[in-house]
Amino acid sequence: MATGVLRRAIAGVRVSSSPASKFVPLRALASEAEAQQVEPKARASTDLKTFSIYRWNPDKPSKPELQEYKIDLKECGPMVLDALIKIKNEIDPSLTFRRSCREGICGSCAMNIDGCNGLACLTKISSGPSTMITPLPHMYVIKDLVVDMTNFYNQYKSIEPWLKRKSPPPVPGKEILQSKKDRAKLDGMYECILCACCSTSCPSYWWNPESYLGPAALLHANRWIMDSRDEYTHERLESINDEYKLYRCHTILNCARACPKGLNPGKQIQNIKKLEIGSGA
Amino acid sequence: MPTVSASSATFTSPLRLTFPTNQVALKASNLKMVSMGWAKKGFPSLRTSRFRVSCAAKPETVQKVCDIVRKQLALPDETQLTPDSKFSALGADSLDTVEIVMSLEEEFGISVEEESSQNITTVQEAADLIEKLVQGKPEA
Amino acid sequence: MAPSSGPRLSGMQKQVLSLYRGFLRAARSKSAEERHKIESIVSTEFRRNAKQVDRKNFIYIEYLLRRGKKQLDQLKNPDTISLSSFDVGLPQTKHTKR
Repeated sequence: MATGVLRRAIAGVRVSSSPASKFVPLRALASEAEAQQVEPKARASTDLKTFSIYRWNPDKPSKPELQEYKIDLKECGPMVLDALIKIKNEIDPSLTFRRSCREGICGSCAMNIDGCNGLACLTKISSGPSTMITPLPHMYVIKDLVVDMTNFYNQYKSIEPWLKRKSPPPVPGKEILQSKKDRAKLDGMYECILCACCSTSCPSYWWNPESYLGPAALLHANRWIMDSRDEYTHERLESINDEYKLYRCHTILNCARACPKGLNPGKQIQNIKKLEIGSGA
Repeated sequence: MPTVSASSATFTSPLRLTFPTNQVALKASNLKMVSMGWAKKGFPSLRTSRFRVSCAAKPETVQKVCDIVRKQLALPDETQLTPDSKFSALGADSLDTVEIVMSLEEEFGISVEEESSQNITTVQEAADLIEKLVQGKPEA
Repeated sequence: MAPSSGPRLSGMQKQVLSLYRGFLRAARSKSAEERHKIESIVSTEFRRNAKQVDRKNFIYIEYLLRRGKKQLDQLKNPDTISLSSFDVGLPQTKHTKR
């Protein structure tokens, strides 16, 4: 049932995205519907692709391994997440991964696809014959593609990601307003969904995963530092003005390459460093 | 040199100080303890029920440790338990040792550091460490 | 004063023993009845793993250590009143309950 809905939705996307090929996906849709009723018969064309997926199960503790699954792309949605869901639904229900929104806003399905960190739901299945999917690098694996995010979340928590005020709000019981200009200063930061693609792509974070806050947490630190309504700017700058917490960033900028939302954490960290100099700390 | 403190129980029932049947190895220090105990008896402290002696672990302590070890390891009555008995020789694994130390902590109201607890392998070592820690505790 | 040193333990063994001690310590803060139950569950789990887990399977032991630390943190929470375990057919897993 669910796969049927999914396929139809996908076919719709194909139709709207390229008018020239309008009839092709329509035919594909028809043959798919047919295939659901009739026994699978030899297809005129299949497009098999191999997915090598990292497997490790704590309940059957042996060495981690790559397991191969062959998927007919003609039968599958365009994104890596579609392939993973298809594998889980139809081939191997034990395959474990996090996913939720399938549209790049929840950040759950962050993983390493063909060597690059990204969200499975926003990454197109590449055209090559095979794709390798592994968990986010340098993270502790809980099972298969699911990693332990405790440290990452704790680091986020440590930058106190909430509005902190010293004075009462201008109008009691009402929101604290912000000009459009001040609000615009948060662009490039508020969009972050904490998927951890950036931090886990950062070599500096690999070496110091506990002491260096990493690009994601620092981007959020800057988000609150730059917020016109926040009154703890100085304290915030003070608290991360640390050889490890902040200055392990060596502007490698893997973070900007990895970010599935197109943000540039490295640039935000530069801004913090600039402010640290300005604040005379 | 470990030092010793004992509770007021010693005064009210000095009998407990006399030689526990299964502790031959401690005879010398037992004697020492007894004489010290009697000597001190004439000068009970005003505020506290403690007194301090410099010598190896009190036989009372050793006995208590033995009892706890016996209970933790569920040793049959006929098993010989001496202060030099190694826990491992009594069939204790490292988890048992942790349990023994935890029970001792509660029995004596002390807290054993991780590092020192890993060095405890015999009843005597346990008793010595306990007396050192009891001594170090602020007077209640 | 140098005490005779105990058995030579690897760093990982020390971590396991320290975790075990942590659980027993945390159990002290619960009600007498629950404490007894917790001690029994924890002890069973540690002994089962000591027997079953391959000593060289470091990935798995590290995994168990991390999981144990998390469970211990939950148990330390004063709001946690008891610990229970259930068998899911596969090797046993533990769950803390609030």
